[in-house]
Amino acid sequence: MAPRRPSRTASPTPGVSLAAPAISSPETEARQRLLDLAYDVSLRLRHHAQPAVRISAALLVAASLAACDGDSLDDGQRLDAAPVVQPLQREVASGLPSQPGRYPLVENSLQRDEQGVYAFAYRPAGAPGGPDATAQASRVRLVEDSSELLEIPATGDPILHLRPNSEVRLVPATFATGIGATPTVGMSSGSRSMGSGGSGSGTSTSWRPLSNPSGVRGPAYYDPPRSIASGSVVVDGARASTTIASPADRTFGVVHAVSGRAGGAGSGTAASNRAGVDVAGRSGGAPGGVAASKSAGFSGGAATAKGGASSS
Amino acid sequence: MTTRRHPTPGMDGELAAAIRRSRLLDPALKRHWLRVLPYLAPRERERLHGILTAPAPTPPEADAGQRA
Repeated sequence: MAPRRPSRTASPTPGVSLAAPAISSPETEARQRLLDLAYDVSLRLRHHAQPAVRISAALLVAASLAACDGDSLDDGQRLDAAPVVQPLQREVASGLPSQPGRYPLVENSLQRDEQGVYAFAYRPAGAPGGPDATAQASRVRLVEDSSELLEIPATGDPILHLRPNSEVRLVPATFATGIGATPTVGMSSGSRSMGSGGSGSGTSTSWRPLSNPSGVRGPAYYDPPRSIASGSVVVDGARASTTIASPADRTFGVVHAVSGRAGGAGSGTAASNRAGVDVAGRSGGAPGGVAASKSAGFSGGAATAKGGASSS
Repeated sequence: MTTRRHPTPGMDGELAAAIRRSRLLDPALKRHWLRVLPYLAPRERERLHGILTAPAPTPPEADAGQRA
């Protein structure tokens, strides 16, 4: 059975508050039911053998999101309402392997929600050809590698081995709950689209956390830029640290930089998607932060990774 | 050159017609639903059919009545 997302009636995403109340109508609700269905279809077809089917499923979700956003933004009421994402109330860890080891990640399954919860599918050990397992976790470190793996170390938080060009889909808070079996605290219902507010673009946003040098050696916690321009397709750059950021610092939001509806060609977003990487190696409480450069290629390395000792 | 789409083999013709007729779906969304339609599970087809063939929503006259 496909993972269930709670039905979204009129309420916006818990965990995401907007300046104005949501607008609801029977037609809107029908579109939201279609969005629910699109999510389910997408989740099921995400691992389809044919790439065209996988792409179609993803586009279906994107277009459904755009349609729902159009409903809520018809009056242009909230175009400038930057979402305020509520920080995660409790760390999330479900579906992870119980045994230390390395597990191949299922291609294109990795996503992260606005509250910083990663969701992904991996191939469990000892079950070649068996069903993929899904997991959700908020305390996840990333490290560059030549292939995509989930590493469960003997101690410390899980590590996702990603390629420099690996992409993490950025999703609304509720979407991640549809992957795992256990609903995440504080994310019980509601929905909101990502990266398409007001523009009707329907594009999904991917984040490449390792595309720019972070200056951090070894596994580290990465967070996307705090503000992501509406309509962004790929976001490069990250805030990286060997110590995990506070829940509030892990959030990000979509900034709607245009005040009109779609159609405005070239939205003129001021925010750069190619911002450099903020490095804040705060190990041991030492200030030691390295001033971030707006361009890639700064010299950093002040953070000293203490071999996976970031578990709490 | 005509751009008329041919139904995929196995596609539920009735559901495809419902998608094409639906006022809930814009052209892009119709196209995407038609593309994934052959791959929908029976239950997903039922859900889609239920949504698309639900009675047309009535305009919000209740509010007007209450105000009156």
